[in-house]
Amino acid sequence: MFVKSTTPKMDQGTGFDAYAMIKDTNADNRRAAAIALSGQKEAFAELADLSRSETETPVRDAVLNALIAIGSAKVVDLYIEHLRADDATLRREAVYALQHLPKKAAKKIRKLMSDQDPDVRIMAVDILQLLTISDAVEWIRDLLANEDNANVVGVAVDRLSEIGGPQDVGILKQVKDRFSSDAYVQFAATHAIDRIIALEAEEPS
Amino acid sequence: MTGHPFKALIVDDATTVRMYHRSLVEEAGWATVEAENGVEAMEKVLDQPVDLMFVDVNMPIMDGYAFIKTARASEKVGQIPIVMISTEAQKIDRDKAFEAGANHYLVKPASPQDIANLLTLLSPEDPS
Repeated sequence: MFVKSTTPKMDQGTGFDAYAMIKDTNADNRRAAAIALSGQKEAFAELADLSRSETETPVRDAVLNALIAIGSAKVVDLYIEHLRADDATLRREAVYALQHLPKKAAKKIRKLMSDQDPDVRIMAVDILQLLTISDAVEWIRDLLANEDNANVVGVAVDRLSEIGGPQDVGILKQVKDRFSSDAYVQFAATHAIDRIIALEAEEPS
Repeated sequence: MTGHPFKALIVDDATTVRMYHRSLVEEAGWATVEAENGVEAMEKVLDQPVDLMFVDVNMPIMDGYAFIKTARASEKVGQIPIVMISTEAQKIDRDKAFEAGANHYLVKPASPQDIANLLTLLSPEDPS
């Protein structure tokens, strides 16, 4: 999905003005403009506006890639805003973008794991799936110690089974005890424990 | 008949959620097929007949709403009952699911009884 642009924002030969074309009524022109502005910090406002309003998928993809290429703190904040959007497409793009901005996003993702909205907490844990953050396993353990929402616990348990180890079996058993009447958490935690044990058994001694 | 009479498609990007729903659906005697996102679900449902679809909302590549709209526009699979299963419990979320074309809406985590009730309700007429 990510393509680094080599197109200039103003092509002297053709007279293509990306700042004008990004507001054009023609979707192909908007897409070309987004590609031309990829990675240009000064184009953040125009690209951010389009990320909120664009309806054409190819243009949306170009805007998403252009903003990831900018990769600034403003881009991270924009996509954190989009995590709370009513539009599922915006939320999906936000998860994708934040997964591709690990250095800038890490601390803010950590904060989102204690957000008031459980859906935001679920997406924060989802984002961690692709982030290579050494502290992620500790963050998941902290979350599981206090989390009350079964859906958040379910995704966190999943993540812990992927990045945790045998030392986490105790935490998972505690989760099972705390959610003893929830069939989904029981299933997820049992599966996670089985997975950790199986992975451990596969490890060469 | 040696096989299952009915088949459900389970669409969710979370492996454990798919496994959980699969276990509940199979416990009721149904066969299952799984997909991780809307695009894969569309491929699966066009490739093999299913009687019911359980669809998550937030998924990469193609979300649940987009999948339901695409399925409903298809002459081949447009009539298959769809249950949207989401963590979002607000009325507006239900309304969006029904607007997209879902027949039913379940809030996650779905209980075994929720799934069993829906399977009874949405079972096609017994071909025998």
